[in-house]
Amino acid sequence: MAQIGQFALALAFVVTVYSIAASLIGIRVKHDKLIASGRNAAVGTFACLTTAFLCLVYLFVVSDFSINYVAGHSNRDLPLYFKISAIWGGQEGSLLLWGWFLTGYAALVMIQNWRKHTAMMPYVTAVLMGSSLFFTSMHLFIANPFNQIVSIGPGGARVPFVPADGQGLNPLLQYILNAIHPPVMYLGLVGFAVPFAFAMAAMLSRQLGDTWIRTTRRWTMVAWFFLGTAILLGGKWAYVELGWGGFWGWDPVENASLMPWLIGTAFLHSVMVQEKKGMLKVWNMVLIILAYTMCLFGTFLTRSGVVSSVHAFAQSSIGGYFAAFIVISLSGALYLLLDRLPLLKSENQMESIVSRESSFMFNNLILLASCFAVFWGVMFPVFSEWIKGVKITVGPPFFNRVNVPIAIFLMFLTGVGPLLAWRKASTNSLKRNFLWPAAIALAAGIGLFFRGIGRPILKAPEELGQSLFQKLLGYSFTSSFYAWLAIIMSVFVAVTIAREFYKGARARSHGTGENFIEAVGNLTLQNTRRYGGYIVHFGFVLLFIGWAGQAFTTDVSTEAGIGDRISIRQYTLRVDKLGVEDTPNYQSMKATVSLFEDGVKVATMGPERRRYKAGEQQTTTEVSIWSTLKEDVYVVFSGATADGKRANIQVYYNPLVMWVWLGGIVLGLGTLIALLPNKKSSPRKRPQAADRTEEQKDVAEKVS
Amino acid sequence: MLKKFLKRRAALLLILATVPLALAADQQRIKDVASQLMCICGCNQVLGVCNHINCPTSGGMMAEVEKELDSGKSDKAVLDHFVGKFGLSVLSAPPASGFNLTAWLMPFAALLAGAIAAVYFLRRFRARWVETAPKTVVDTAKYQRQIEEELQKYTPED
Repeated sequence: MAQIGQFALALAFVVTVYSIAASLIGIRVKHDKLIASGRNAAVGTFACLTTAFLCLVYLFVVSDFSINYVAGHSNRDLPLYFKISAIWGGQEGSLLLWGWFLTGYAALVMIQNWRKHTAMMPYVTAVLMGSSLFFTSMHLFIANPFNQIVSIGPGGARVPFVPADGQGLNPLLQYILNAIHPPVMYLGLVGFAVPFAFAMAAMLSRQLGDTWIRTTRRWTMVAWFFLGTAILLGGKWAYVELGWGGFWGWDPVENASLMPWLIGTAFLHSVMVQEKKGMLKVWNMVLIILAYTMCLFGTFLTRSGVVSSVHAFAQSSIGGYFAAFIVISLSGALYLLLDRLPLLKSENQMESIVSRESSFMFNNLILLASCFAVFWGVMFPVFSEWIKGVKITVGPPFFNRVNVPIAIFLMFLTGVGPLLAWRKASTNSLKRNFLWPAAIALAAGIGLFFRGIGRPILKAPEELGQSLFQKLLGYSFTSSFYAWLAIIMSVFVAVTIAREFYKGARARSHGTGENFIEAVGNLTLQNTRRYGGYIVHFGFVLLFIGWAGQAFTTDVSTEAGIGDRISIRQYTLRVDKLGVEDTPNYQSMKATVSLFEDGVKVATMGPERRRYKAGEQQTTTEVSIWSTLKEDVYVVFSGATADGKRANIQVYYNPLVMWVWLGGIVLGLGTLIALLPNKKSSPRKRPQAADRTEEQKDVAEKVS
Repeated sequence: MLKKFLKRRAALLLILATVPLALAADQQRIKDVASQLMCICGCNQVLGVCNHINCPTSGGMMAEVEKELDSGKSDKAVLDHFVGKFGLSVLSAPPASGFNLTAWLMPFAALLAGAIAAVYFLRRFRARWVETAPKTVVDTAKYQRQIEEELQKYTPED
């Protein structure tokens, strides 16, 4: 089977080279059959990599430890689903997955668009296959997953060697959500290759209208959806598996996935300006080039070991190749952009600064500033070491202090943007649209303030530094204050969204006689992009509230014997039992803990400490979480004392964490709705002019 | 006599009540300082967060933070103590001085530069619109009809 896999990889490489050559020569000599042959070769590359991938799946399922990669990342007693997820548990397999997805996307794009965009598609083929060439080269020459284990025999002869068992999968990766996290992440990262390829094709073919944007809008959303989902899955993994009580630690690799997502978010907003007004054409090109570059940069960060990360298990020697690939892609794209600048002029101008166009520009500015802040924070230790020769750390306090105010302002714009009309918003509509959301948000803020949330506590004067900037930093607000602001903004945005649904549904219900719920449903399905977008925004509101709850996290760490009680806020935990469990894969020491809320038992929890049997016999903590809408009680058992009678227990009280996961689900749902085609409307009764409501006037102003 | 006794009793209660508060404040201070330090075991986590099994350093470092604070040092002095011992990389964020100040300033400088650029482009777009906008009277009836048609659909586009 390994030989078939090897052959499929070699064939994929040859076919990829042919596809690029046939497409480019076909364009040059205007030979349609050659161009079509290039397209078929692109689909053929996908077939080759599918074969290779299936071969690898087979080798993992049958535990063929003659293969170096299988032996290094699996073992006999690993459950089947982890044997399969172990395929992307290391370098070679995850690169193969990346390459396979890329060619899969390419094949889908060919099938979907070939007849629609005949002039552009050969270029799309060449660009996508250009990316694919990098990966097929890596599979074949640098990170081949089918290499056999050999030992040096007598006389220096290389003889095949088969170990009795494999090294096993990293225990941290033995978590079901993390088993799907990498494929989802790759679907997101690779997905940005499609709009990038169309953007390059638009420039190469000089077809610089908004065709490429309209064609790839859904592709971009798909990529953005997968990337966002992967980030949340990663957060869930960190929360459940790493045992430090949080879900986002500003780790360089987390940041690496956040950066393309932020740029992708900016792109999804600014394409609307191009579609609607024919503006921001250069900017959209810049954004998609940056988004794809950041996807590659993220992979480079994960693999290169340039910065320290909790993802150290993904480090390898391929960082240099990725760096070269990034430089080549970026330089080519920027050269092309500069060359085509005269063709990318705006078709319209800005009528008013108070308009939706301008709000999107500021939204883009904030998203990019946030991305830059993250990039700067990730890379600053490297710059510091290069320039000053001093190693420094840029950790969560930096990212929180810089990004939190930016994020709060972004939330404010999330509320403001959809309330502004295209072209120009009138003062009356501003008053109508802002009054209630602002009043309700303010009332919520006052209410919270009087409940003790949001008071900025300043540092003592002697704790402040000497310089003005140090003083400013010292006087910065507390996390409670930021959480307070975040909740105010969240309420503001939630009310604006609710108002938009209410207005639209009421107007619809008035004209069609549908009941309100029906009207909401039909309104959404007939304007999936707009109302799906609002649902996405609402998902962010929930996420934001969940994130704000982190300002009030507290924890207790103690040594407790059987029957001892640990108190945290309104909860009490009682250690009932300490036991040992033996499974083929690991041995576990488990604490049984009863959880009481205000004296009433609500759950039995079972945090564990595991020692995995394969490989280096790593130990991990398996936390136990009691989760409600209000808060999580998060229990870590880091082991027993030497006499085995007392348990080392750490308990975290984490408010509102469930809102983060709910926000993620709503966000995904909103994206899926926005991806749906609009449902066709049926003929309806026309409203009488006299019956027209304020809401309808708003709608009229927005559509004009 | 009774009044005096009650006064003494109240004073005693007040002292006893403030003891746990003082301890809580100390714990909070330890946490605050620990959040500004990195664990040096290589886990790449903030000291106050690092709780992984068999960490060879976090326990000792936390005890040292507590000891230094107990000796009456200010938070800054305790951080300086750790910097002296392990170098600047032990701080979880770069100090806001010298070259490291650029770490803090650059994101905001970029934001400011972006804002200036955005305002510049908005004004340029607007100036062009003023130049190219039709000078004749707008036929509002035409737009009114368009609004009527759009309203009939009840399906406002983005």
